[in-house]
Amino acid sequence: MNPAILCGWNQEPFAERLADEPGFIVCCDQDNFFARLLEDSVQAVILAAELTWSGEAPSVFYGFEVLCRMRAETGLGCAVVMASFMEGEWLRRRFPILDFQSHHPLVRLPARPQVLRQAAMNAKPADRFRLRDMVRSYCDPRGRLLRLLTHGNGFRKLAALQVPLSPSDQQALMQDARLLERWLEHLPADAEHIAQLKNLLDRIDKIGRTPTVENISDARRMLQEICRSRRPESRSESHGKNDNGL
Amino acid sequence: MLVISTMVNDRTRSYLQPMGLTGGFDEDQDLAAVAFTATATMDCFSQQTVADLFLLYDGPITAQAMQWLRRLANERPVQVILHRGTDSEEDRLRVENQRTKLSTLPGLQQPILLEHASCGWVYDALMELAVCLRRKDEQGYEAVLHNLRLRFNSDSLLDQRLQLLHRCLTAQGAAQALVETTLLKSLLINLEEGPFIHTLVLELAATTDDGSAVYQNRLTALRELLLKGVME
Repeated sequence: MNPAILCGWNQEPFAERLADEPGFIVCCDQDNFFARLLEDSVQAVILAAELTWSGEAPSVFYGFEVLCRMRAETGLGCAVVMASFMEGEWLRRRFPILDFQSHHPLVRLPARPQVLRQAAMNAKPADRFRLRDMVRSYCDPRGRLLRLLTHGNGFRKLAALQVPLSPSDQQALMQDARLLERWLEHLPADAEHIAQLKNLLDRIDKIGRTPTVENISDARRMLQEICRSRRPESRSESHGKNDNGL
Repeated sequence: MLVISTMVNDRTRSYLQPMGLTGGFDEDQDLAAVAFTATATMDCFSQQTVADLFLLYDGPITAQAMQWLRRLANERPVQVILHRGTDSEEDRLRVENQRTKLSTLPGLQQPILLEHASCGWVYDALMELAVCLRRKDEQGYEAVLHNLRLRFNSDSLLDQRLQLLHRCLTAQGAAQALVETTLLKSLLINLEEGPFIHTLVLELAATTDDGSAVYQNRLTALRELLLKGVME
């Protein structure tokens, strides 16, 4: 199968127009987009900056959030064309990940599908060093990890429930653990913190194999310890550059 | 001053407390800008404060909570923020029920629906606000508050402009925009160049080849009109 150009675009009717283009796969839905990224052979990605996935308004420019997640969670370095009606410099000030311009060219709309295709063909994929650099500098791995630990569906269940965890709780926990593992790769050097998180992953792995009361309690204690040590008072470092400090 | 209120139910408390995450707040007390309020003390809380933003817990809205919201909405426009939650049927129903219930409150602004995963930043910001308050760090407090306000203030006029532009990427979409009067009407009322915008959309809708240079140029002209002054 020939590599495809995957489009994350949910603004109709242009999404339909893109879907008519040969070699384009258009995903109007976020889950489908991430699934196709991993399943299909993808040469390049085209993302609308004004995606309204997850109930976000166009002016939130959720496409950049998808870009960050895609880079960090799937580890894909393929070229990503961002498309927006807004002017490049204005967007760059708000989303400095656009500084990696050769990997993330910005096409200002309106543009025909052919123009988007051309930009996708000309953009460069990022090697793993560039990829790590962009995620570390612009995607706030530290903040995201903390949010995952405190707000992930699986981790919330682990923290809140008394043993035993239901099969669906366990499944959610394993999903969160997989995400944690991904974002962990992008943490700046902090040996103690990384060791703590790896420890937690080991314990969750144990739950996956043997969900005993002891293993679950063990993981819960570890999670609580990590969250306590990461409360805002103990975090003096700033968040990622495109995180608005939140 | 922006006043934010967060109501925590037992479910939320049950996972925040074991992780030591409610320690940053003086629970159940008004912290001027931020408060975690348990449903049990809601009445006492509502005597003391008003709120601009109200972060609602993931659960059925109780009669008591409705009463409180009604009181808040009477005092000033209040924006309610719901959790979208997961894609599960349970969360979908919960959001639907919350929306239905909220729709009976007059004067309430349209609720914003937040993705669950993105709620982490709200929580982080609330924690940071509380820390700044405790440290009497006025500058830090203002910075966090400013960012929070930016995040919540989704610019509805900009949203409408962007929606219209995306719609007009094809002639078929432009024709649809003319029929869906609410989108266009609001822009025509709010923008000085309303009549020009209307004319351009009419022209776009009437163009047979939306891949032509003429169409692209007209759409670029529409973009310039709609986004004039937005990016300064």
